[in-house]
Amino acid sequence: MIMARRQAFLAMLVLLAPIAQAGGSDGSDEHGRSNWLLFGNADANALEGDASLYDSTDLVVAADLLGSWETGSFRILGELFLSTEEQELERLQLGWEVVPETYAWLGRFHQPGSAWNTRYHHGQFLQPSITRPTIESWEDEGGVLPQHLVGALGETRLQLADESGFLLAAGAGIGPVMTPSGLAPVSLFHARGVERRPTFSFRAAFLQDLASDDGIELVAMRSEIGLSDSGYAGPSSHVDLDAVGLSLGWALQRWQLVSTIYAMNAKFVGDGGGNDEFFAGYLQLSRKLGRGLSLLGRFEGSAHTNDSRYLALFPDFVSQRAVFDLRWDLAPQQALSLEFAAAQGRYGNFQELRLQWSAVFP
Amino acid sequence: MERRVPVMASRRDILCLAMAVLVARQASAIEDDTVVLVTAEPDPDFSLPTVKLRKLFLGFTVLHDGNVLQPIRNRSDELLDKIFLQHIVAMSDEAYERRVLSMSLRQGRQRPREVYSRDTLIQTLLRIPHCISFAWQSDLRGVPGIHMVRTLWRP
Repeated sequence: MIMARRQAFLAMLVLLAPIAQAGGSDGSDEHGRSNWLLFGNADANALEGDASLYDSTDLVVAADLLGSWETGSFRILGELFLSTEEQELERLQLGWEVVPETYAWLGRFHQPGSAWNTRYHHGQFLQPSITRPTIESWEDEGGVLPQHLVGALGETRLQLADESGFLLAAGAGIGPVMTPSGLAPVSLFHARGVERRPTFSFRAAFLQDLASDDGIELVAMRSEIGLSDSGYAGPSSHVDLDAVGLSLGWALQRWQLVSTIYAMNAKFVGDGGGNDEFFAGYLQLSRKLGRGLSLLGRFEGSAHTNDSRYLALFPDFVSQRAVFDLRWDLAPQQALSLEFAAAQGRYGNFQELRLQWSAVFP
Repeated sequence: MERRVPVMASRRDILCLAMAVLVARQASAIEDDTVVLVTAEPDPDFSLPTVKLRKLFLGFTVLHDGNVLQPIRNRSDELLDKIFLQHIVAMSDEAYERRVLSMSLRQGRQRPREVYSRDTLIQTLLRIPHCISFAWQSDLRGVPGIHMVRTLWRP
């Protein structure tokens, strides 16, 4: 997606201010404190499959620039993603820490009902595999769930007597719109005349250690997705999409297990049709091997997807995939990853081979 | 020639002995030293439970008397840094770095300040309000304006 001029200007303003300020001795002064991070990656990808549309090779270079500035209880956070494929102001949030560990945000944010995306956002270096699970894909990468909202977000952490605690988050705002090629994420300054409808998203997690991701979490979302720009020829004006998910994260010594399952219901409002129910999820197991090496296996599966009228709007939807990833942390902030995947798409099976260098600075 | 050999051996012995005494005294000083929680806050009742101290260095907001505490990671000494990782945040260096990175990525949280010398630590503690850090007791004993809150680690 190409950014609008106003969006690009705002992104530059928010992201360059912290960098300029960080030029001081420790990036801090009496007017506030700033922080910036640059995640970079370079990928070589090859796909080969039953149908010619799956055959492709490409090289992608990407940078994710994250800047934040805070003074007192107020904070501004911006995330700008630039790659050879797209440029997008992913997040721009104005936040207020109402009481310690309770935040109210306004702006464009990643909806809290995605277990994967709330952990890794666009920080490729922190992600344990090159690819994300299909059901967690961003809208402009063929994702079937809304992931970006413009509106309000509340987040809080409640610590129990020990190090465990609850994490609660709720977001409300306008979400994506359906286009002939799938969902188009909402922009901070969206074009006039584009139909935008509300999305509500919720996350409740119990974590064994509030500073970790180990625990169990429940996510839920309700979204109205407008169809007027989708090329859909039926009588419905929009789809009511409900999703409920359960996620589990567990680490034991060198092993880590992550699993999430979503149950979704899509209803084409006004066409008299029935509910459209389908399921999707993944189970991922990884192990540190020593010497900076780690091995990961992930199985992604789904059910009732072939009959889904909603999923028929997504030609790139992958119903099953087995992923194997070998990662080498060659330096404290750099990694090389090799990933192989066998997938089943709408038009047949295909294989993916990916090689990636990822890093974070400073 | 026969008489010079024992003389040279004797000088070598004295040198070795002197070095051994020096190393032993340094080792003894480290063995006797403790790691303490330090601040420039004037509050004599300043104390932080271990769980809150860990939260603070992991990037969470921790208040003291209504003020947000500012953690400083003291990296002036390799052993001190190891003690910090093992006894304060209870994580490996890699896991700690990833956790702090992750907190920044998710909510734009500030990473703890880092200092690489005793002098910078003292200057930062005195310059920025509500800072808290850790150090060898012997490094900061008697420094004006710096208070030792409690012992975090002893050999």
